[in-house]
Amino acid sequence: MMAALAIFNVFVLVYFAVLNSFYLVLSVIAFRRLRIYVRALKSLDIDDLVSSSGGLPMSLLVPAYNEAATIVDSVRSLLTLRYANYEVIVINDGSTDATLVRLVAAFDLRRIERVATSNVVTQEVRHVYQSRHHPNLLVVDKVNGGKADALNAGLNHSRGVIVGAMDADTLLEPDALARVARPFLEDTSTIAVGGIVRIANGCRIEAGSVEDIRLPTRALPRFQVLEYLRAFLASRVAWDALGATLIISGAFGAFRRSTVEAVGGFDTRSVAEDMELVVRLHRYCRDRGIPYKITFIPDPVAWTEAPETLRQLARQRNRWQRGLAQVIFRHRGMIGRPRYGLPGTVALPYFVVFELLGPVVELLGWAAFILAVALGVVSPTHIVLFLALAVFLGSAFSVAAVVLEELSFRRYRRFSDLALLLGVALVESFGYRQLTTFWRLRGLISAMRKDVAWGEMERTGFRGATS
Amino acid sequence: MTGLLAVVGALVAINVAFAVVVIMLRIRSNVRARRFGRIEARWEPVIIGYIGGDDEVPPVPEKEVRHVLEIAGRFARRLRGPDRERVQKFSAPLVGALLDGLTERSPEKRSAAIELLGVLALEQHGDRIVPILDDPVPRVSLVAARALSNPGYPQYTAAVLERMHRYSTWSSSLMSSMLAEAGAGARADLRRYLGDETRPVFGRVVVAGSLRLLSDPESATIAADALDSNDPDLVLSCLRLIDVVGSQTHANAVRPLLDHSAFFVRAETVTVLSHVGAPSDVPAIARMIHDDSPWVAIRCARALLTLGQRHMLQDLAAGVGLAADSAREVLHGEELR
Repeated sequence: MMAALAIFNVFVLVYFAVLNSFYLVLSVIAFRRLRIYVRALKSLDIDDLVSSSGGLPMSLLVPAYNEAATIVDSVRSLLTLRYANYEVIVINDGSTDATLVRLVAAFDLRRIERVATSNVVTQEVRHVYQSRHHPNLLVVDKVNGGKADALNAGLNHSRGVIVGAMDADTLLEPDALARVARPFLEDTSTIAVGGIVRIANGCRIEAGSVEDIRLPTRALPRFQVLEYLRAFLASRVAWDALGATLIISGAFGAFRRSTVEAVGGFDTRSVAEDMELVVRLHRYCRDRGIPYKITFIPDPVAWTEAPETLRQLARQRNRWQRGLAQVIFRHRGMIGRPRYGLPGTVALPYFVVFELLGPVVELLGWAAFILAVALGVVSPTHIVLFLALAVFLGSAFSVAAVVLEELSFRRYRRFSDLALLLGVALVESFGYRQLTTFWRLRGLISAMRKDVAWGEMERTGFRGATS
Repeated sequence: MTGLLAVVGALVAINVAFAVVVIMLRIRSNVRARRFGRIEARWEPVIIGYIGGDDEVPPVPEKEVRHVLEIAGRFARRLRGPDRERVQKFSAPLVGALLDGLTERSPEKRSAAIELLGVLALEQHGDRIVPILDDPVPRVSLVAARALSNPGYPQYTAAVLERMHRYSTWSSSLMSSMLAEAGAGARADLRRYLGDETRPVFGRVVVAGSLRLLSDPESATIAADALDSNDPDLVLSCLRLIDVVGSQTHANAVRPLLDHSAFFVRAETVTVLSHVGAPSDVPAIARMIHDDSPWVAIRCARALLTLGQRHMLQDLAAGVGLAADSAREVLHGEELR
């Protein structure tokens, strides 16, 4: 028993040593990449790009299910984006609240005939509406089928060369479309681009636009701010530098329409339709020898409302983990196969070993540690040192993410917010991390039970958002 | 035990070091922002005054030259004609400071210097930018091409066209727009390039797009000659050019493309025929509305409306299927307009 415990503890130690080495390498790669990227941005005149007649037509797909609280502000904000040629397609996915009614009233919608230009199978589309005042605003009203189904209906009715996919509760910065379109202009083999998602809780928002960027006042969204910085500025920037981007957030991403159409659109069976599509695009292009680029860039910004209660957050993390499990299971044939390049040989194995199975190892590690303490195998000094190791290792990567933010975009202008972020980095290891690990483990178990429910998030509305 | 303690100690040190770096970076960026703000507050009114005709310019301290040029560049990018020329004249004594930037090791710094020189001093230093078209970094080369395509400097178009093969991964529509910026003076070079079959197809696609943006009537016949190309992108680009500047004399070259294998070529052909074709093209267009591609069907419906075939569309709209849907979309759109 004692020997088994000791062996397991060594395994856990090795596991975390490898995991943290990975994080370290990713952070270093992200640091180099971000420095170059920010310098390159300075030589780019974004206004020139916005006004250029060479911009690609874009269709922004906005699936909405029971979003009555926020939909009008969100759409109003989308109609003020600085981009020469774009249409906004809101897909009302069988909402049971006043989402459609509010849209009709706010934007003076009228029914139109619109030919579907692709034929991805979806739930029945009831009607298509167009705004009298904003001809580039369309609303597709359809029978409920889930987010992926709504996106597919939007895809069918879109006319842009590029389709942007976003959440209805997301606010885009005015130049977000111009920025996300840039990689498509710079390289015609680009088929998908992801932008950064930031947390809007705590920010002052007026007329669907983020006017004053502040940290949330509640602890839970604050932790998530830090998580998002780590995930986007460290992890995704680094994976992009390696050419192995596997995730483009469903909150905001852009895709070459023809390629999404060729792969059959978004997968309606997946609860992580964003990641699933990206992995499927990799697979499709590599199977056919099509040169392609899937990229993440950190300057197009989407602001989203983060869960503020433990229940909402638990549901979200559960869904993310279930989605990850589904994607990995569905595309398990890519894992470790050289024909799928770095996405197949490095990124996917990383996601299996550290993201999918991480919660299992971590919680078993904690259990073994507690058992070892109970059996008196480790001394009190060891206990303190191991806990300190876990805390400071975790916080080091979080503070590193704050360094990356400070080196690049410096969105949190107040010194007090910056100090608070550093403090959050230190305290998140006490409870928050363990909680998210637990929810992820539950998500993994749900995935094994083949649970496909999405879970709802109650929207409070962005107007006067403070948390 | 000691090893573990050392690791924890090292981690604490790393945490503290990172936190100090964050704070130092914040202090540095605040100091820089304040300094730039002060320079901006001092020099913006001077530049605005200069644009308005006030020739009195105080001497620019050497350490502020780069910042002042950046402010001037911001104005120049948003202005055209005599106002832009005034900003360029204001910058003329200062732009020498940017020349060192052209040989910087960092491609991003080279790009920034080229971009600023292009907007502020193409007249003086355009010839210094031309060799940078051959920069080993493709992105820097493109920034140089953009700089050389600023309005009013068609003399550099030929040099950019010679390097079109370097930009083949870029979007052709963005490149077309860039080359068209140079203005009407570039038309002759662009026309020659389009007609030259030895040139890369990508370049010809781009050039056809530029000539369309410049509405160059003399290029219509060259475009019509290029319609027998095997490359559908070139055919599409030439069709769009003919749509804008062509006439009935080019319709004969266009008609056979109704049977092209690429749906986007068929769709464009329908549109072009509705503009440069004859009434005798109506039956062919009416036949095409039954094409498998919705893009072609919608274009046909629009073309039929353009050609005054409302009744035909109404008959079609009464039916079912793609042709009927397309007819209804176009008729409905027309009613709501």
